[in-house]
Amino acid sequence: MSEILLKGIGIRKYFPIRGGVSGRTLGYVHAVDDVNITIYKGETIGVVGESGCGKTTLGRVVLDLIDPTTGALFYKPNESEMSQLEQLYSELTSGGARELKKEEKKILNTTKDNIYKSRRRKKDFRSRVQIVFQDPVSSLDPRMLIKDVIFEPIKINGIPVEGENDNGKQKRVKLRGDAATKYILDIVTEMGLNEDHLFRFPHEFSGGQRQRIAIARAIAVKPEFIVLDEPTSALDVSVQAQILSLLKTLQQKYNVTYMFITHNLAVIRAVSTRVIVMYLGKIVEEALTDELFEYPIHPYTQALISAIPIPDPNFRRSRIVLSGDVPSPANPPSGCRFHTRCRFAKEICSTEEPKLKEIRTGHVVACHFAEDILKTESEHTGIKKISEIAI
Amino acid sequence: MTTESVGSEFSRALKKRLESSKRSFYFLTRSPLATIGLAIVIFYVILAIIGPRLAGGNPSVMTAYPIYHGQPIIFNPIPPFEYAKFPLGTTIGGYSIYEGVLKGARVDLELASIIVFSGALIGTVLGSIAGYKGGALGEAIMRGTDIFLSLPYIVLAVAFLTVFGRYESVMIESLILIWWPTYTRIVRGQVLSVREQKYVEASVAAGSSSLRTVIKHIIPNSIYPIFVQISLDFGNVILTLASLFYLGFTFAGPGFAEWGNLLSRATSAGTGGAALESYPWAVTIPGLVILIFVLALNLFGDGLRDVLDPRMRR
Repeated sequence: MSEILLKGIGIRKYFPIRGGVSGRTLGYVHAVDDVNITIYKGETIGVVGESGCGKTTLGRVVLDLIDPTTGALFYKPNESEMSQLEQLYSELTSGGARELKKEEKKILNTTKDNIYKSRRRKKDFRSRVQIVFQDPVSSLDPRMLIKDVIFEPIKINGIPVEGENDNGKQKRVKLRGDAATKYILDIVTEMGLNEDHLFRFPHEFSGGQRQRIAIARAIAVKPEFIVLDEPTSALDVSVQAQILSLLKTLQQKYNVTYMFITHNLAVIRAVSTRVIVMYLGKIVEEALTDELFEYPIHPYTQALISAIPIPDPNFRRSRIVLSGDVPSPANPPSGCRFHTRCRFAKEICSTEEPKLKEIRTGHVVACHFAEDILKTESEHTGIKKISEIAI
Repeated sequence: MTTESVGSEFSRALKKRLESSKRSFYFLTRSPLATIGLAIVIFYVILAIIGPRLAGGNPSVMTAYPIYHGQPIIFNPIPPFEYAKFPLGTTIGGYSIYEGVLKGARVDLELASIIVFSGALIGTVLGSIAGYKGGALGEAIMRGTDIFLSLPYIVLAVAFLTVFGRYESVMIESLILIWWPTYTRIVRGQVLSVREQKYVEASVAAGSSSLRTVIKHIIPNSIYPIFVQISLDFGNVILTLASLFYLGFTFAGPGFAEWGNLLSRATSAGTGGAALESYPWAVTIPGLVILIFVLALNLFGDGLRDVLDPRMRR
């Protein structure tokens, strides 16, 4: 395996539901519930799931834009951190999915403090990561010229140059005046925009152009890691394709790692190397992209993949139609969260929560009947066909 | 890149800004009432700048002419248009109304600017803190504004002038104390909505500090309703000042060139309502001066609100 860029363990994010006159907490929305995530350097990790499954929240936690309720995040963990992490991880997994004990929370919180709460490291972290949002309209300040929008992160962080500082941090230089203008011009030219665009306001652009500007802003500081939060969802299909190919080109050129959050399986298939499927704040399946699309094991993933439209009128297949709605994340079902809509659900599903198990190499599934499903549907005739035709 | 291209960059950026303000001005002129309001406001501002020079003498004190052409005019004001020296007539005490109006423009506009802009500044700062940080501090600020909003403003000013003495600074401070809460409320409301915008989060993700985010993104995007409020409050402050002076809560002598003071001269001899019958011009002319200015400010403020609301522009 290649180098680990970012590792998060036991990440939970509960949003309090406040109500009443005094604003007391009535309950919690379990947006992300006990998620372990590993992101390797240079990959594009796709996070997929329906609305409200916590994928955006996960992206924001990973970038430390919001504090997780519990959990530890490690950016480029070193040896000692890694061993500490491994130990905690094994303790947590052996105990299954349970509420963290007080001491454990404390350990997790102190490790987190070491990573992020130190101001200097936080600033260093900020200069290495970036985010691109779904909505290109609200992600650009309407009262700033494009030149200033793109220049903002450069102004704050500088751009990395060869070599390291004494304290092992990246060496960065701040650009000013002509050098800055030239640098920005180079970046926007690469994005397919021209010099004239720099002196306009965001409302003078189309959606696709605005998304290019948002990407330019993210890539301008040459980050190591970018969270792409549904970057193509607000665009029409032809523009989507342009943006995706632009992202691919940039990834090759700048050697940047992506976390690609979307609900669009076709897009995930096209861009990502590894996929995480989320349902109600939990990871239900994780595998390399081809593996996942060829051998989807979790019933939820199967249903998702069977819903991909296939541009072939003669092709008949059995659709797996999910009945009912997503249960409320404020009051998630007991046991396996998917059991209310699962076609394989048995008694055990509503009482015991399935752990993530490695079923095939690098293919992790959280389902009690994962092996059975794999066996009975080993041919995967219908699904395999889908994976060949889609895209 | 040469310096020339950088220069052209600046001029281009400037051109863009100019175009944008030109567009705003165009939209403002689409409304005839707002245009009239703007014209009158500009006229008053010019008056404030050149008025005292036209009138001559001490710029904030009116000259008393107790005797004119051998006649005592202290209690017998001269009506307008009778003598070229007093084009708008005189009032009790032998003060020229024309001179009072000219000098009063500067005095009133100066006092009102100090009060309104200080109030707006305090309100913007506190409102941004309350809106962006929230929590206990924000709650404390907002409850503070509630307390100040619940005070009747003339009563507070009168109390201050009585307790701390009749000084210009006391009057200004008491009025600032009255005026900041409105701005705090407006700014907080705006900040609460702007804070949730994605560009704010993008800026935070880029490593911007809280202070920088507020100054660069939050305030520029939430400040526009403040301009409307400022334009409306100018009138309100001038009315309040006039009321205070009329009620006799002054910090200066009877010759102080303030429109409310000028108006109250007419009734200063204790004649009360009789003043309106015997020398109506001494009451109506300063009154009209105040009325027209406040009305113009309100018309302009309404027009400004429409222009600054982007939904109205597209």
